Amino acid sequence: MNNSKFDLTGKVAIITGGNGGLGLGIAKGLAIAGAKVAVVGRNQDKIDNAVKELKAEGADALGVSCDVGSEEDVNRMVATTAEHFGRIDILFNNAAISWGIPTETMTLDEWNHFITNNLTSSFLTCKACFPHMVKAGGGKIINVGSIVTKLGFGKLSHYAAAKGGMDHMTQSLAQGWGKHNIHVNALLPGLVDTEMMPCTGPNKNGLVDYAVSKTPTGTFGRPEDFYGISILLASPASDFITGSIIVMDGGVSLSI
Amino acid sequence: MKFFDLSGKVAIITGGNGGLGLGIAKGLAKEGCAVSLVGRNQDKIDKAVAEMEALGAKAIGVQCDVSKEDDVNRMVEETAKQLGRVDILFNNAAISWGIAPEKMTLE
Repeated sequence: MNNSKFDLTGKVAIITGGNGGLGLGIAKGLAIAGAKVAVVGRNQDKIDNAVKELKAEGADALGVSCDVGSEEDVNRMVATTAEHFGRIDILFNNAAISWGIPTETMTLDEWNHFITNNLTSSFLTCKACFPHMVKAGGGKIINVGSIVTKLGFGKLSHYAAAKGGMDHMTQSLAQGWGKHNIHVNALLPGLVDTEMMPCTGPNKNGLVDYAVSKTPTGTFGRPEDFYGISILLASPASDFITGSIIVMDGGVSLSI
Repeated sequence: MKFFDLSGKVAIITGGNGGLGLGIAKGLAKEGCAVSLVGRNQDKIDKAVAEMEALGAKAIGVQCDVSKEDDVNRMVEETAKQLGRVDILFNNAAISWGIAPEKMTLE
């Protein structure tokens, strides 16, 4: 009894924000299932380290520097990946920025900065990958959103608006691109131990203990917890799943 | 890949003797899980178990009316006794047919 439905051998995946945290976890999971991975980020040192780490684990990995808020940069990143690996099958829109700003003191530039980096970026990457996925006979797009869209946080209206836009873009893209055999789903992580939200050590976020105390699984997530769901959503095992918004938060959104 | 490995696990699938339930059972068995197929129709149970065994799966069939507490308790005990443990439960059994609300009885 084999696992062929979860096999990603020969597939090529782009993971934006793949040079660290959850994105690097996703890249490792996909690589374990046999995919070739392009890890995309802005910080070249982090890219180099991520590629080194992936290669040390036996992965075929490429690092591509890119500002996902820039159309030119995204088009170049996608072209570079397609040229290097010969195809594009899988796209994880995982890159994001997040910090709290009260809406009443937020400038329009700050608002636009968040919408550009956290929402428009996914439009750009989806659009740039579309012809490659059509050429490959289909594709898998996974938009990494946030549990924030199921809750309310007063200082995160800019972040929540962008992530909420991503959820609904997911549904409409799934409807529109189904005929091209492109499946589009959203994954909403809760608390995950990353640079953006340290759950351990001296920089531990102040919300962590409270959130964990309210989490049915009694834990925060780790990037490696996302290997399985990433492989599932990128592989033929999920060929009947599209337009779904999948919460992966240990159940914390049920309790807070 | 070990993420999807269900070796050594035991699953109960209600309504597992046909349709979607049997599909679920086959998927779990493919990853190494032993399955208990639960249903009311003994013929369908027997055929489903034979189909699973032909695929190389470890499968048992347990007849049960899932709306009866006594029956459900017996079914779970039977599964635990025959397969040694219970790790996974798919509540898949269901009935469905259309009835106009204005003609529906309380029963």
